[in-house]
Amino acid sequence: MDFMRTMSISGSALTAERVRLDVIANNIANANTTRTAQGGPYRRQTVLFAPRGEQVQWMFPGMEPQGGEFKGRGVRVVGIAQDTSPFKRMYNPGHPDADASGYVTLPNVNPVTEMVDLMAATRAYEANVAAIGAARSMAQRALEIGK
Amino acid sequence: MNIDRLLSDPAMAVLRQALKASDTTHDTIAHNLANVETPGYKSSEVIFKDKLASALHEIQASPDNLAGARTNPAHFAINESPSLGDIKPAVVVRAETSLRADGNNVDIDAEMTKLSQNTILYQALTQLVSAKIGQLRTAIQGR
Repeated sequence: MDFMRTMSISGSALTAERVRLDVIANNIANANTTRTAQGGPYRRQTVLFAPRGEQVQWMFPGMEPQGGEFKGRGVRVVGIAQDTSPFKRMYNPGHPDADASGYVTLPNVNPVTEMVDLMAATRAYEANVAAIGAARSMAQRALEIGK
Repeated sequence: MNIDRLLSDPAMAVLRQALKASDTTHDTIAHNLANVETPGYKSSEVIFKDKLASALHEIQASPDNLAGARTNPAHFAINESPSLGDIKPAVVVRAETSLRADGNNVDIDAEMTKLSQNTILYQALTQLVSAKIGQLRTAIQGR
């Protein structure tokens, strides 16, 4: 049994979920940022996940399963994309970044969405930690064979 | 009886494949959990129990099977019952379902349940292997 491979599958997910948590934290931190290096307000970012390794055989009802090595190797972050949804506008004529009509353009970050994403990422992280725990107890059992 | 026969009896061969199946099952569960947030991902699953059961059924259905001898691996198998130790776990992708709008079909509750079941199954299998080796040890020591 290749426990190192098993653990690296779950480990890749821990890394990916941590990147996701970083991005969410960055979104929340910049929820009111009106000045960025590119000009204009901060744009919300999202992570893009893709499976690592290949899927073996696609199963449809009534198909005979074939043998074969499992080639799945976890998940990876393929990129961090920008959310192209429109910015929020708030009337605040005293603000230094307000336009001629007195409106300030604010980031397209919705704190409620971010908090829900944060919880989902935390739960996914926990599930993968549980998978590592199970792999560890299986590895210990395998070492005890014949004792 | 030579020592090779003792170590490679059918029960041991089946146990070896079952441990391999359980190992692969864990890999698929870990992979599914890792991709719980990947859009379009379809979950994988290991099929072993059903294959083993159908092979067992086939053997029990025809216990006194007259099989053609094969002196060359290129020969056709005539009436040969499947050897239980040759039943290998198969990995399939469940492509026909979708749980969410993004096409992902990982059911996290089902995966966590399978994770616990598989861990217990693995522990049971290792105990059985230990028991087989224990019998062998008793036979060697003669007490």
